[in-house]
Amino acid sequence: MGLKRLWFALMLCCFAVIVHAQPGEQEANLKAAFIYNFTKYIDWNQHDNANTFIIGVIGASPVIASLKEIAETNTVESKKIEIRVFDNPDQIEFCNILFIPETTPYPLSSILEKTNKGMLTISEEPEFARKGTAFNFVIKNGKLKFEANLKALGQADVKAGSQLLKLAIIVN
Amino acid sequence: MLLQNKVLLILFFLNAPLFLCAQKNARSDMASLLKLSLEDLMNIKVTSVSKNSEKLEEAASAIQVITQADIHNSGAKTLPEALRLASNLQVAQVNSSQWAISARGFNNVLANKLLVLINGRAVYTPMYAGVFWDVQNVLLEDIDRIEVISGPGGALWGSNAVNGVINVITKSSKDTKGFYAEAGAGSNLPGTASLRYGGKLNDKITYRMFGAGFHLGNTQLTNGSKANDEWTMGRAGLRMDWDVTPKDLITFEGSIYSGRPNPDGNDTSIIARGDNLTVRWSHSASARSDFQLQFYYDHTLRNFGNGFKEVLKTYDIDWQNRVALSDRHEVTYGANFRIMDHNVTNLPLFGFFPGRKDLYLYSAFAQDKIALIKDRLRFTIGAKIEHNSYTDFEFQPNARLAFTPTKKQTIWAAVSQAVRTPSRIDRDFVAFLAPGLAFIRGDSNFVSETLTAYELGWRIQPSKNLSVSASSFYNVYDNIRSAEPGPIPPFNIPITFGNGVKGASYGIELSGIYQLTSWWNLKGGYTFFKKDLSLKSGSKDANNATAESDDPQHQFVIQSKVILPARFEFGTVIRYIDKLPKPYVPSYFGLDLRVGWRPSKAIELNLVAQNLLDKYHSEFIPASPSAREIERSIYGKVTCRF
Repeated sequence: MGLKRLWFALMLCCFAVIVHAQPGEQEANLKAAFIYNFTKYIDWNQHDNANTFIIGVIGASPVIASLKEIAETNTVESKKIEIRVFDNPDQIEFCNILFIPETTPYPLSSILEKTNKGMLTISEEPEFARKGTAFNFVIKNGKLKFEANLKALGQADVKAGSQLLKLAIIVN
Repeated sequence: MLLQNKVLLILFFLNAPLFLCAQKNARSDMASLLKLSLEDLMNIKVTSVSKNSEKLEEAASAIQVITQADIHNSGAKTLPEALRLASNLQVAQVNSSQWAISARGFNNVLANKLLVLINGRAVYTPMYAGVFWDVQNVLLEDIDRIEVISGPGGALWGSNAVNGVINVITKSSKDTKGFYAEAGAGSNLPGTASLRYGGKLNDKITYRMFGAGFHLGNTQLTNGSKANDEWTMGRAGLRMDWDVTPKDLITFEGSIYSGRPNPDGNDTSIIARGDNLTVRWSHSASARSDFQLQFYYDHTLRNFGNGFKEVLKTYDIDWQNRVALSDRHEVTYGANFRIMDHNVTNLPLFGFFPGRKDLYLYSAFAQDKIALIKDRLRFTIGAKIEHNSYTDFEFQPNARLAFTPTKKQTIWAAVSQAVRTPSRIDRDFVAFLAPGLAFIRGDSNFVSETLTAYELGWRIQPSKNLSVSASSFYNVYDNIRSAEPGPIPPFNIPITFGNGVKGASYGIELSGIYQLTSWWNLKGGYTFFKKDLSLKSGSKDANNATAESDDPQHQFVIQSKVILPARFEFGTVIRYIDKLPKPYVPSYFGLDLRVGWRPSKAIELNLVAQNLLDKYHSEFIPASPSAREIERSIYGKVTCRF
């Protein structure tokens, strides 16, 4: 009798483990929405000659799936959005935005040295904005905020609108 | 079909459509998120386990944290009910007002191996080194978190933190502004009501005041009749937080309470009253150095209704300083002085001699956290040295190694020594059969119980939404209290408390938090525990080396928090406690369900069903009074916040 009850009780709480559920989907979706919104306030100057708007991601991250979902039905400045995943820093090619997930095993310096003008770097690891990425997601009081490194933005030769910067936590 | 199985099936089907909707929700989430502006996006609360376990990742010990969200989700009405949520604690309800709570075994109504603190104020009685849970009431809404550390905390927290430390931390008054009012009643809850108001005096001073009361229902005797142990408790209090300078915070809190617990179901109940005051000054000199100075006064009175009375006045002053000596050394040290004025009014044949005794406790501790390999390997060494009125000096050292191979994993090991110093019952207690003829007594030779603990643990956060921890321990005990028979036949009295039991206990504590979806969080744990005690040579313990304890071998707790559409919430707590050996209590499953609804920002309605699976069940059989059973119950509560 006890065993039967145990089975019922565990079923209540554990059933959805069988059902596919993306862990951290709200946070990943939120970050992807932020990234898409950033594009409305950033001027890539002349560095975006390609026909598509390229968002590169170095490594694996649940944010990739969210970005792909956005890419299905949305555009940036009338250009189709393309998501490219790089497995390691050597594979990095030009992209308008390079997203560096927190789980990346590569040291930040090895990633940053592969970036050029026109590539806006966005990360989600504490201290990364101070270390050189242009934007960095942080969670404060349970809400998603972002840090901005003005020097890194200048080096990428990309202009961020003041409406965006006034929402950011300026780090440098 | 049995009622309980019916209920479970209904609940399963209630939940099923939600699981099927999970995938669909993800898609509509993204589309609706994109409609929001950046400002709106920045206002959304992010769900992940890491914000709660930030500190936990650093902790090289077996710590579980019961958060305010956990307490709210569970429908717990009192502090002991909330403690059930920590799977590394043995929590058993004995009757309407008494609980047996311990960590790592040795559980008993008079459990004495756990240190319990409320905002740094120790809440134990030196009468038997245990806690009267009926007077430890905190407004649950104002609890920020409860830190439950299983394992010896002697080096930091002092004696009596042998098996664990519970630290109840309430919110700053900065976080409790406005009105809070709640009222509830139910099938076994004649009533509960609380009112709290928080505000600010000026830019630097915030405060809150509260008044609360409850009338808890009775349990029943094993023969089915009412146990008449229902009881009432009222309390009020005040807290003030003052940011004197950007680096200095002074917190002032006090409360007063009075209640009538009646565990024996007598015509005259016990009267339990008290008041306390705590003042705390925290100064953060820099990011690398801070100190805290705390003073508290605690006055408790317990009148047992038969002439036996206990009045305790505690004066405690505590200083702690933390300073980062260099990049590699973080030193914490402190000192404490406590006076316990313990005044017992004895019965002619039962009491503590002398009736009134002043107990003095002086202690100092120091701890160094050394970064052997920066961010990877940390060695912590510390010790507390204490002087108490019974055994003079006690030394409790502790060494801990924490290895963090990746940012998301910690492996730790620790060796510690802790002591449980004698309490009044061990030394000063005598119960007589007739004047001059003692039949149970303490002994002036009773020494401290000692523990040497070996622990090994692993904590990992494999993803942003999953955090798992495993702790194992091997505890070696010596000089555990025994009841030694005396010389006078035929009953071999007086029975004298001795230190005749030794042995070991070992076990493993697993716990985890899993945020499955943005609207579903699971948290839980499992504990395995085994004890192997024996008599020391020369001991003829009348309790046969059981150390007056009754512990389950297995237990688990699973909590589920579901956020439903239309501002509904659904909370589930399932617990399983294995059988208790002696006195025998069969194993049981407990199921608590809560449905909450917030029709508006200011109003919340809750319906809570507790102990759903059995009409009645027993959790612990005390030496006295008689065994009681807890009944299945349901209650409703209305809450206003504005």
